[in-house]
Amino acid sequence: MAVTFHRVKSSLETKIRKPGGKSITSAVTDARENLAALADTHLALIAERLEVLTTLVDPISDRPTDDRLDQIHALADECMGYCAGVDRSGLPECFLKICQLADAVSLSTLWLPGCFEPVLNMTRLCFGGVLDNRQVEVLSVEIHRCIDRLSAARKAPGLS
Amino acid sequence: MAEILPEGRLNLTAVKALCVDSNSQGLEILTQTLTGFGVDKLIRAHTAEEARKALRQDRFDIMLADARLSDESGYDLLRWLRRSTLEHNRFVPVILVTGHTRESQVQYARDSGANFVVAKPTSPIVLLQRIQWVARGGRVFVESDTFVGPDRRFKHEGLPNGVGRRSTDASEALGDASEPNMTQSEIDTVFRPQRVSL
Repeated sequence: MAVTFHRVKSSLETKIRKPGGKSITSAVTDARENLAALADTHLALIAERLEVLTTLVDPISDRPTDDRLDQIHALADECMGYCAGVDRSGLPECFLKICQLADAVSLSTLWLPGCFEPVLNMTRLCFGGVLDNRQVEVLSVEIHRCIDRLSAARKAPGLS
Repeated sequence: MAEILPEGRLNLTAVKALCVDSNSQGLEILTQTLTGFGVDKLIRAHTAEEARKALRQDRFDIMLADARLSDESGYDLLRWLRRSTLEHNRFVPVILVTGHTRESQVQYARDSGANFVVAKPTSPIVLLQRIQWVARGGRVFVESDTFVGPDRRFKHEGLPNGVGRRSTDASEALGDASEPNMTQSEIDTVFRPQRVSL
């Protein structure tokens, strides 16, 4: 197999070094202020998505269909992005857990009835500002055990 | 603990960035972050198809794209770009933004040819550090049948097992000790300032 190496100097390397510009501290501060201005919009979007997530796992005892699992993953992924300027400790981690759980369920032969309930409850509490990072970490240990159990019962590749 | 930001300045006013995200708020997050950094020239694309059109028409200095687009994945867009004949843009630094990468996609993501993959939510400081890292340059661009993109290796692993050394190879090991290690007091004696009579 032929491998070619190119030594390329990007235009970014040249332009970023030009005199002027702003200090790193100002750049980060200004970016954060811009994101904070979007916070209200994003909080409203997260609230809406949380409602949709609740309906997608209903009834809580039944395994969501593969289509629903894809939607759950996509919505949680979207909400993770919205956390950028939002001041809610632990919230991105909650949505990450939802993504991980949806992925684990989709790949597993095992179904644990009600397994989405703890992570959704944790997410709602975080959204309400009730939990902090440390508490999310503690609660996530059990959620991760669940993910590990599902992952241990993996479907053979190529099977839906 | 108070956050310590690195010192220094950067000038992104002349930089032209392409931001790709099918979610309009996701696109707003990327563009507002770059605007805060001082980027004035921003082109927005909502789909991979729009991004391709922009890449064919214009020269960019950096591209930020979400991994999940409505018409195809950001990874596929990037694979297309790296294998294209767009002589300037195919080498453009690309940072992909992803939430959770599904296990089935991890290897595909790794081999897409991104300079970096950044996790959501996009933290300004992390994104700026990645931009600075990419702007430092020095990374070779690799082109092969199975991979096209910046060299994925970040550290020198040393000689692979079973490969003979050449005379020009730098020594990777000091070799085994031939005498006992010095005690701490012996080491201290070596470093203690001593009076010398001249």
